[in-house]
Amino acid sequence: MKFALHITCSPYSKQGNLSGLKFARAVLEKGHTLTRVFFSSDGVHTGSQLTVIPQDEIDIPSAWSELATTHNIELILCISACLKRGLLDQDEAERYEKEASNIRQPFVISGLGQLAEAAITNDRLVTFGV
Amino acid sequence: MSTNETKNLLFVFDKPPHSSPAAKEGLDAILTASAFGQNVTLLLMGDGVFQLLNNQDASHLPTKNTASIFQALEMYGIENIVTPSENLKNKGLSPSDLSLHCDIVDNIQLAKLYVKQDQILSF
Repeated sequence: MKFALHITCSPYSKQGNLSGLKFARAVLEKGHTLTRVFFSSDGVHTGSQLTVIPQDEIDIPSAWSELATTHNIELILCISACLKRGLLDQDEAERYEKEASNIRQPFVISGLGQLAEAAITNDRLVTFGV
Repeated sequence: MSTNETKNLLFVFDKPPHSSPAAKEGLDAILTASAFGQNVTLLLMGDGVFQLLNNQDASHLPTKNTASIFQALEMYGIENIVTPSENLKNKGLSPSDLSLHCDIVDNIQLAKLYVKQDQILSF
């Protein structure tokens, strides 16, 4: 079965982000396909490359990156949510004349159309928001 | 987009207005899905039905007034707006308290609505 996930909460404020990560691993372990994870609202904080996690705590953003790289999963950050929260890739930083960009690899910034497409082209779209 | 498929997408709003960015984000998402030619339905559950309360005055709030965006849904082809009758009753509301025409459904119709969906998105 083809899955996509929709993550709407930040990695260290609510349980949903980590639950989504664990669900993603379980989906793959069961032999399903995970095509895309769409991060919106506070979920976009997952895509910051400037997070510094204490050594004895789980590094949730890095774990998403590793999972995506290993299993070829798209990690999409909602552009309107990103801009408001200070998450910019190189293109957006130049467009809005900001001094820095801060998007973690392999996250990419894109629009809500990617969420609609994920809902249409996958068998299941599962939201984690609380 | 790479697909011509049409799916039934249910958007569930269950939060009160002006309390979080959820309604604005949900509206953006449902408008996008509608623009993609999908069969979208908006279901207002729980406190979400207050999103449609008549005569809201958000002018003193610094946030964007989402009530006006709801008025534009029909213009963007989103005509299936549903709320459960039991929920209206629980909130002390009648259909005339709402700013948009809603299909008022009982619990059996609500269950049928859920069953026919391909995807459900909550905001």
